[in-house]
Amino acid sequence: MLRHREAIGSPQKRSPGAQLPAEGRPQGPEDGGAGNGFDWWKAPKGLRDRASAGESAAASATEAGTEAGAGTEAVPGSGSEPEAMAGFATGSGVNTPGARKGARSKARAGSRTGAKSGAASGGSHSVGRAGTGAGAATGAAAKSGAGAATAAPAGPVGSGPEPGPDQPSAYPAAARVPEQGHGPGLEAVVRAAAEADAAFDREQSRLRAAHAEVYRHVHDGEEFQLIRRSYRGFVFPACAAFLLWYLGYIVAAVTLPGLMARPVAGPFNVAWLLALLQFVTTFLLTWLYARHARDRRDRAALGLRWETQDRLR
Amino acid sequence: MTVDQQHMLAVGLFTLVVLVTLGITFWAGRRGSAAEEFYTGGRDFTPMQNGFAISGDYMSAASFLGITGLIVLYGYDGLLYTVGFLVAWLMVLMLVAELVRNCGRYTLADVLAMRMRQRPVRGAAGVSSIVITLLYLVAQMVGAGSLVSLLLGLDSTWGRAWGIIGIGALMIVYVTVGGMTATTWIQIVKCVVLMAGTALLCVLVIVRFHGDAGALMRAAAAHSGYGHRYYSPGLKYGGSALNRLDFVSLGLALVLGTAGLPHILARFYTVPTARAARRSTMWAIGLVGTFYLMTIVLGLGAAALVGTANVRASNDAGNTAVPMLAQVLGGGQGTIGGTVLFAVISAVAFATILAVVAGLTLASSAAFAHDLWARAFRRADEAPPSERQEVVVARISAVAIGALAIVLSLYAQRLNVAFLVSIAFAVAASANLPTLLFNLFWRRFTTRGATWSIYGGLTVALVLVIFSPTVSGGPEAIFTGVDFHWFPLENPGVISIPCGFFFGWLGTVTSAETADPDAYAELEVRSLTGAGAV
Repeated sequence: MLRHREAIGSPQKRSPGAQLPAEGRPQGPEDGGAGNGFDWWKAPKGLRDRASAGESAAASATEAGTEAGAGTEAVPGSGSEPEAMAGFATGSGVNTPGARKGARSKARAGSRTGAKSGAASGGSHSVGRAGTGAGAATGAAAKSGAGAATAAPAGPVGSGPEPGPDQPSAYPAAARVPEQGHGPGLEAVVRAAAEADAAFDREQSRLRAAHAEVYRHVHDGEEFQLIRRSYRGFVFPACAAFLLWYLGYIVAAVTLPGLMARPVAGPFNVAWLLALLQFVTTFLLTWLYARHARDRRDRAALGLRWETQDRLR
Repeated sequence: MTVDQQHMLAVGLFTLVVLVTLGITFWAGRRGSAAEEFYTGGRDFTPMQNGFAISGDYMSAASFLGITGLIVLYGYDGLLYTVGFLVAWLMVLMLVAELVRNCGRYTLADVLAMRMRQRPVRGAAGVSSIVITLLYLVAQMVGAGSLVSLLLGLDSTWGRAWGIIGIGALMIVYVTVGGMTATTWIQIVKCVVLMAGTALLCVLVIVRFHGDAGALMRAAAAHSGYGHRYYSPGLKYGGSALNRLDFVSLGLALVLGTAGLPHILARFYTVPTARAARRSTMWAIGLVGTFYLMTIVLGLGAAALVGTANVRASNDAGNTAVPMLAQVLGGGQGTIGGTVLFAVISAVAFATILAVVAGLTLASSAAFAHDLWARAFRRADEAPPSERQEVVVARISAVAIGALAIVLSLYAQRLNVAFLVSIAFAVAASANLPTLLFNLFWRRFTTRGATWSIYGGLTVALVLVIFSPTVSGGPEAIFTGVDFHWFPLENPGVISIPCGFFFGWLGTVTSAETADPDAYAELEVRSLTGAGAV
């Protein structure tokens, strides 16, 4: 918890990797706007940058592979987290011949911030199929679970079977392509694809349920309820107050000309005084809200954020 | 110097503005074309940078020139606008900025899609976002056309048309080539230039009156032709009861509309965390508040030094008050100081227009590509396209929307700019805001409630506008000769905003499905803690 508190100073300035323990705790899941609760962990920023360097250099597949590989090294243990870091885990076997295309598009897939997720989470389904279409990856997809399968590159879609011995080793060693994956007949491919699809669907709904469970648990927890009460307790009365004060001012301006024209000092009258008070109260409320958020919520919210993300993994 | 030389200087400075902004655009365009980069500029702007960009996005030419002009023409009633435009930011700060940053990715619809069925809510939010940005865009471009032609001395129908086409073409280039990065930097530069220009004029006015606010107000009242009535409300909105109700309606739309404007919401995605979103809003409140306080001084100064009658003679809506004030403060027409200051302030106004239209175009292309094309136009079992394709479509749609805005603006040249802006605010407050607030704070809100709220608010607002005196029957109506209006107010807000909330409630209580409590729990946790934020 202490670490979280320290991080609160300027979370945006540090590379998230710096706040995370060595096992490479991800910064955040990406929902991808798909709204289905299927989260993707975002890659730590340092890695993202490195991999995006790979993207620009991706003209040569080997180079891209090297870059991605470098990313993997920076996060020891990420290879054992297929759901979390699949995009980066790809680096492990990327240099093998026959995985060129895969290496390239994977480097790209993992390269930019969360952006992928639109494609990754929304498009994950088809992407998983694309992986199976490549023939060799089928078993891998089925075995290693959908989380990893979805990270398979969109690049080689429709490129037909690419009989590399180590096709996309997007997956940890345990989930490497099985031997029987070599040169299967068409029927076998179709069957394997169907299996992979089913596995993917099962895995996805399981993940969704697990995530819902975590969020529900956090939501009902005392820590979150405190944050929620504190936020609503300030914001709702404050909004009601400033809206009433503003509407009262507007209505008074158009209905009470006599009062508004009453002089205060020289040409300065009640109307001007009220208008300037609107400016003053706006600045004042801004300051009060910022102080309230900083003192009452920020610390707890950030701690809960890392905790939630930890549980989601 | 002659008037020709004055215009030549203005042309030179306009060219400089165009070159600087194009330089920024092509520099930004080299940074890459990922969706994250195009829609959000990589999310690594600092709160201060984003605060400046938000202010740059918000302080349009309508504010700089229009509100100053209104203060010159109507005294206190012009000042009422500035209050509404500023107070609206409290809503954004407290209810919207942080929560939207935590829940969304690129657009407003992302926040809704988190707990609703994707296709219907994305369709609805995409449509309303495009309608709002188009209205706002047309308002800015119509104003820009007349402004540019006036400042460059091309005051004819063709001059205005070429002004609109030129600005439209520039904004398309900014958005398609530079995406959010270029747009943001243009807005930052514009905000700095605008604040500097306004502060300079403000200081000159104060020096002219030896720092005596009372003397400034008295001089303004004396030269306005209204006498002491200039200090009090009622010059513009003091007529019939309906006239007064109209003003309340406008005030409501201003204060509630800002939080629903798609291009303002999109700005919160350019910073890394919710905390940074909050701090950028605070920067924006500080900048916008200071700016409006300065426009009050400029308005009073223009009334005192230029005279309300002269301003009205130059432009009925008072839009030329600021450049005229600059000329007087520089030494008067024909002097070098006057000419230079006039040209500089004109160039500032020009930069102001460019930055605002770029932000609007980007927001509507994101709504089209990300919400409509990539998600809402697809069957449920169909996979969305890749981000790369999405960005290509976003760029194409920026061209298409820009072209559409140019065409509409050419036909809408007779429309009053302030009217169009207030309609955009009213539609945003009626369609987007109720849905957004219900979605964030009402556990039982359902998909049907969301779509009803958006379509209901949007339809009511637009229908009321069509049958209002501004479209037919009024003194400045679009259609002369026919009169089919039955709604007495110019601004629909006072009816349409409650309608938006009512339809949201009605759709929710009548829908067969019940809201998923887990989805709302997730939304609450994520919106308040930032867990899982992109």
